[in-house]
Amino acid sequence: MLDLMTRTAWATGVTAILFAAACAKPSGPAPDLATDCILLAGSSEAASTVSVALLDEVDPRHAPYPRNAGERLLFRHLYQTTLRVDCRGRAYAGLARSWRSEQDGRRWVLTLGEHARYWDGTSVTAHDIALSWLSREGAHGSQISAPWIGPDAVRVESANVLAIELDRAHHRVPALLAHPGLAPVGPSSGSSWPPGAGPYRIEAATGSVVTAKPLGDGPGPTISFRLVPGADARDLLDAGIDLLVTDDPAVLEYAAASPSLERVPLPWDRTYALAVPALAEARGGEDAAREEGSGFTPDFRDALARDAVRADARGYRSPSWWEDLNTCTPGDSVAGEAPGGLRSRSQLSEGRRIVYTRGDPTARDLADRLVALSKSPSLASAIPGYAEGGARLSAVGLDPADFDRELREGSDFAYIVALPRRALAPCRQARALTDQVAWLVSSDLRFSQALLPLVDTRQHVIARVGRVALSLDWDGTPLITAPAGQGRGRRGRRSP
Amino acid sequence: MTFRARLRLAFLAVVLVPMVILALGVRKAVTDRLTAQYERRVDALVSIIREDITQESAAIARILASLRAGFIEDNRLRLALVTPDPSERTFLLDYAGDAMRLTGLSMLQMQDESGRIVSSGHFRNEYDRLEPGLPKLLASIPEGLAFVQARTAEAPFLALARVDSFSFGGKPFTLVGGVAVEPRFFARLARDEELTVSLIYPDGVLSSAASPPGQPGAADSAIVESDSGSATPVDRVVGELAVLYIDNAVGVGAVAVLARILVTNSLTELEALRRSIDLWFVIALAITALGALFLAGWLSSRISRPLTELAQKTSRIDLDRLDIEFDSGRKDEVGALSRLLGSMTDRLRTSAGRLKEAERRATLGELARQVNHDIKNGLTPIRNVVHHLAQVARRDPHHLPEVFDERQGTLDSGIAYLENLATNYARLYPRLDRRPCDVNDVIRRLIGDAQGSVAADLRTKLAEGLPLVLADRVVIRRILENLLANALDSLDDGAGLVTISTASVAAGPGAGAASLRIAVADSGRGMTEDEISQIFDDFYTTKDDGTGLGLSIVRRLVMDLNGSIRVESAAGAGSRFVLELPCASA
Repeated sequence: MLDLMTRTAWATGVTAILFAAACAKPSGPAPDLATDCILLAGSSEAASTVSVALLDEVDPRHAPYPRNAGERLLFRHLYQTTLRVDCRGRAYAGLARSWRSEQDGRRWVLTLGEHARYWDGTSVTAHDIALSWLSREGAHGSQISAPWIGPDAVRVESANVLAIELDRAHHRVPALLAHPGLAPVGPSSGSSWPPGAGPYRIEAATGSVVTAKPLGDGPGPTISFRLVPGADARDLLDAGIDLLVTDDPAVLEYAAASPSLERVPLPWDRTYALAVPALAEARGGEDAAREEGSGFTPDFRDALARDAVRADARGYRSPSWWEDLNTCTPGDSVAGEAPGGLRSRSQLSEGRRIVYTRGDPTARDLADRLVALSKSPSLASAIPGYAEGGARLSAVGLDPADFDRELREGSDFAYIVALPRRALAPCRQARALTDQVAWLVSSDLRFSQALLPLVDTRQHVIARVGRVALSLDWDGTPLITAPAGQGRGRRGRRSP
Repeated sequence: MTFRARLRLAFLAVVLVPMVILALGVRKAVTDRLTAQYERRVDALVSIIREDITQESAAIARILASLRAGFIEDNRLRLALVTPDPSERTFLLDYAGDAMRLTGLSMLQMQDESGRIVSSGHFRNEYDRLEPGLPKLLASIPEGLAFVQARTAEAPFLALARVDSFSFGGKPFTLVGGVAVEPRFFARLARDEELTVSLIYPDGVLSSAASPPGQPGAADSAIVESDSGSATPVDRVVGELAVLYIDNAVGVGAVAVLARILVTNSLTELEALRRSIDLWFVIALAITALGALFLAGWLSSRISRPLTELAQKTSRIDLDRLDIEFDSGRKDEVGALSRLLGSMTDRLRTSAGRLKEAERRATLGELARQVNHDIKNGLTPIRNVVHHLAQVARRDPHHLPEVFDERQGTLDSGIAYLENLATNYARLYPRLDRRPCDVNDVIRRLIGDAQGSVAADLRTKLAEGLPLVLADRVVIRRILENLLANALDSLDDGAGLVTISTASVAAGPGAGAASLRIAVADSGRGMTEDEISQIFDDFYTTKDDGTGLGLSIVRRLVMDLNGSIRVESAAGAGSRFVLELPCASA
């Protein structure tokens, strides 16, 4: 499910950006990253080499589409898209120097800049871009290139001019092109790392250390990425690591106690919810009158966040993207039928399980607490059958693949699912989610009563004081930049 | 049933019955001895387990006491418990878990005065649950020893638990801690793989065995309730220890019930021993049975074969065949029987000789009387003629030549009769000249001589490759001439069919020719049974001019050649004389 949610999160992010971009005025000013998205400013004593610990598994074969937080942090520095979106959802130049719309939004023309080069200095051509959009397959064989770009839609006008011709007007194209899966990669040069066109290039790569330097004369420190999956982050900090991202409360507590470290929370990026197939069955019935997401009281959700979950959490805050699906067009509609595998309540009473993804401590904490409250009147009123019968409720952790399969079938009593906190393209997010778990989304693209939000969580950046300058990307990914006053990345402007 | 079969059955019975008794006895002795040994082991282990559990419980109590002492010294915990601070909430909730991991316990929960769980190590997120019954129940149990079904989010587990208490600011708190009771726990108590320790409690069975007894009560399935009501182990030896069990998982309140710790010593090894005994017994039985059968066969063969030979020899004994030897060097009963039969044969031979002698004498007497009679018959007309001639010579001498001429025929006839009589008597005892003789050749010459002089149809069916017979060729011819003459005489008007055939006769299946058979068959008038019974008697004849000595002589000649002769005939259906002569090599 983590993979599922990660994929849907990416899709959501892209669509959200599209949505935001559509709402933005075409002729508006370029975003000011220097003031809007700076997370850590660094100092004049910032290190020329920054060591970053990546606590997740990193696989070069996934490039440029990340699978987890560690890959996201690394890939974002190595690979770059034609256009980018900042932390506020504003599009700005990436590999493309400029872009413009024609024919009332049905044709988009991108002009690549001179700086669009791979690590070896080879220019990134419009043909490379078109090829990467149309032919690349993402993780697990899924198509991650833009599905709305058909094979006949892309026109290579010249070596550095690319046009997208659509059958109807789309005003959200620029932001959509910031999807990390659309970043071009060069032909393999024998290294396990495919060449990219990001702001950093790989200087050296061993089994556990990837050293990246700014491309050309670009600003920014040399970054030494340490691939240390499963390591104790406190040991890494003790060993002098400058930067890491974590949600481990023990590490956060340790960092808080150390004056040489600073801890900066990232945006709330994930919502944990309880998905109950039995509630999907009750769609349109007596439970239909209940407002979406109101199955649990705010106090109950706050208590869960405060006491049950050990990560940095808060009670779920409304609104969420799945509560705002009214603007979806008919073309976004999907038929979210309840799967045939749903068990009846009588079957569930024989052995009821709350299933979560193994390896996700927050999901496990929530499942444990919900089991402990199996006799709670508030839960019984929120979830039909929760306190029914003599069958014992239990929490069960499953491997991600098993969890995805069980969730798709809806064969258990309830599931702890992790959803991206901000889905700025609710319709596409709902549609993507429906493709995976049909019973979660109603036929009119309204989330069914089956999804009961619980808590929001977020991660934290722990950095050595003054040694690192960070900005936030559109999806909350921290980007290492040059400290203030040492220059900033090049900016593009939208053509009038 | 043959003697051999009886002997084999007797041998089997004599060997098998003692062996079966021996095997059953060994099995029972082994079973009784090992079962008693297992019972002693189980009883000893029950005592040890009782002590082990008590010590384990005491160790838990010591850990809880140490924790209590540490808690009292922990000011942060004191503040978190006495003056609840939301910022210390996480610290408090994680406190029992940290303490549990440090002490190696599997279960630890702190509860306040009302029974509310303020911190749980084994189920961290079960905080605020009201559970006043468990600590009270544990505190009320003598020695505090009980098994508790503890809750977790995943699944309940069984723990050996104790309770302790402490207070902060006058507020009492209880501390319930324990160690997980898993199959390994019981395996450690069992100490021996052959021994299985199981806890039978209302919710199931926990066992040290790799494959636990299974469902509740399954461990009892192998125990049969006897009439007296006591449990009798069937396939295991069982010892029992009663313990207290508190079901705290369901959530309806802690309830203490009795559970049982069963110590079972599987009789698998004993069963294996039994199977081994059975296997070796079967092997030994099979070998012994085979040996017995072989020995019985050998003995029966050793006994029955000479008996069979004696029987065969005895079957060959006949008045004309008393040359069978029963010599035997054996010292046993068979030898005695053989010698007895030999002696009997000797007596028979003597008796037969005497009988033959008597018969010869009787025959000679009969012959003498017959000769006397015949001579008298021949002399009577001669004497009458002589008397007549003497009377004529005395009374009318000059008619004597006339009368002599008149009575000369009678004289000649009488003399011829006597000469014929003398010739026939001379033929009774010819001198034999025994040489290998080809019977077929004799027959061919005989038929060749006879062809053309008789009206009958003469045919032969001669077997090829006939062995030779040791006989006088003249005698053979005389025998066949007599039989052929008889056959021709039996034909009406001399017309009909006469067939002479030969064949070899084997001594037995697969054996070579022992004798040859000559058959002379005719299509003549045949004989009645009365005639057949006298046909070989001397001087018996149905012909007007017969002497009654032809077939009698044939029989004697055949007997002299150590052969045999018989006749098959019926009135009007012809006759068939069959004679068998021993071959020259037989």
